[in-house]
Amino acid sequence: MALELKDVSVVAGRKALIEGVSLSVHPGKLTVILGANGAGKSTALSVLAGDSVSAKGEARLDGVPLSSLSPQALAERRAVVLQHAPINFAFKVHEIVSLSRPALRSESNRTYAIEERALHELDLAELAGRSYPTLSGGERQRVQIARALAQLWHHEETGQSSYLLLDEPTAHLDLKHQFVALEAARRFAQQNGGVLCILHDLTLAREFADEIILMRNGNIAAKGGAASILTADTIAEIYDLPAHRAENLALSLSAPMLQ
Amino acid sequence: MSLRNLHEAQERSRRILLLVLAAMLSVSSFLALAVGPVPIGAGDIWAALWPSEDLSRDAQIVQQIRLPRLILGLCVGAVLGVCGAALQGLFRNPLADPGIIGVSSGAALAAGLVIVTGNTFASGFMEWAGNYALPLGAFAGSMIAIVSIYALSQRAGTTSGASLILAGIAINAMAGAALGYLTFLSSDNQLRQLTFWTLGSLGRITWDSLVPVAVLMTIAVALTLRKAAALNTYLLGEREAGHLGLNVERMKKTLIVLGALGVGSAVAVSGIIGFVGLAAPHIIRLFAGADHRIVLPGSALLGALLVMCADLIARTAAAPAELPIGVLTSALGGPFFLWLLGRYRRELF
Repeated sequence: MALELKDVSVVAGRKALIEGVSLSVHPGKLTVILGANGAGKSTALSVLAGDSVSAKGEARLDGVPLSSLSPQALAERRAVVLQHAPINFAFKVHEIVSLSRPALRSESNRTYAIEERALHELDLAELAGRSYPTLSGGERQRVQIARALAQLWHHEETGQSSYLLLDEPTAHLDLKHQFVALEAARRFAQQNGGVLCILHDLTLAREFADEIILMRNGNIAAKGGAASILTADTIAEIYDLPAHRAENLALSLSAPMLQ
Repeated sequence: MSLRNLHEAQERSRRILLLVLAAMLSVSSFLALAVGPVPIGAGDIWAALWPSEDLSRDAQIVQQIRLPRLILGLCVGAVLGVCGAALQGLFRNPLADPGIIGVSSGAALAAGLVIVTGNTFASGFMEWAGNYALPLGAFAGSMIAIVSIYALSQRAGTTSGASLILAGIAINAMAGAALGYLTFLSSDNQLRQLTFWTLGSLGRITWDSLVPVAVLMTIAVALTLRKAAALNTYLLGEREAGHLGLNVERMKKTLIVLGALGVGSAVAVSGIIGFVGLAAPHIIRLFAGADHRIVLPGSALLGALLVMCADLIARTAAAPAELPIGVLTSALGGPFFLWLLGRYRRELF
């Protein structure tokens, strides 16, 4: 059981965005993708989300090719939070979260409970009645994560594994809410969901990742646990950093975290 | 506050809004039948609503002149309100209006072509289509306009506000030039018809010409109302809506066809009545929020109300002369649009 890419390549124009990428997201695990800008992280995520029709290779959900699943069937099994998309219409926060509901399912105690739980999970209970366009970037980001969680929880009763794909979920968040968001993702994983999360913060990656995938120039450079992956050498290589900076970073990562 | 409470409070205020609008619409419908060069009493109006051989003169005025005009006003207003709201959703831009982005002028140009050149170049089509020739022509014109505006304003999967409005300006200019040339070519009689199209009017409607377009407009409104939930999801973003299970491509095509059908039939029978499609959805959103399950029906009612009130003023302000209704809505709608531009400037451009 996994959401996986098998030897996937995406070409835009003449440039290969990703080339021969294979990776899998397993239920129960939080997998983090790290890499420099343009390394192909978002492209890999969008193929996993079922977006990229031009991709070569195969993307599969529990063995079934994504291309053979309808948008509705896919929506029951995986939810996606992309980097910020503007909304120019004055929806309330609770209305945005209620868009997670499957078509034709109307309000019930159960849908309210799920959406309240999602809002609570992202520390949004106070903001439920606010107008979405008046929120700060970080607050909007949290609303989107809550919306994605609720989308999968609406299908919880089927008992099937589900997958949450997050593209830089912590980008606009303050320190506290970076932890709130990633703790919500981790809890989702602990309840037997699979999480894939693109991050830029190595400290957060070390703290939360069950597995780390390093991407470089459209390829996967390394995979493994935080301890084995976040070394001075790999950091220097992935982010193209001078050796002394990478060493300092690796050193600070290996220091015990202040709780 | 629990979500159930939030939701129920919202539902209550929405029901009240719809009820208020429906009540205002009933009152203005009665006024539209009663007020005019000849004031007509409730008794004659009631009599005119039923088929009968021997009607009084007043009842005949209601049945043959004011009632078809009232129904036309209701349909055109509802269609402009709903299509305005749906186009704003489709372009994910609250400034879209069939008049501003060129959909109406595309329809008006096609209608002009049918009037001036139809009998010369496409007599077979004119004969075959009969009363439907104008609405069909206008439908084709608005369809071409929507598709080209859509293609022009998309940038990397999102709609750019600036290019949407600029594409609208270009299409309005081209349609205006072509209509001007048609004016130059046309005979006196055709000229009068063309002026009617560019200025907009609900006058000179007859039951015969009303029925086909009323059917088309009702279909457009009814089918668009069913897209409310999908439009809500779509406003999250195209990819986001796809991730939530919406068949995005199919919904966009449906909205384009319904928008063209609605605006095309409205323009075919009443000319260009601008800004109703902009004002109605905005006023509803101001009172009831962005949810299309209230914005679409609310815009239908408010659009109908706005068009009927405008028509009432157009008929009575300079009686016995009649002002073109499109002139009136533009005179009121223009300043409203400027106000909106100021309001959205930061987010959209």
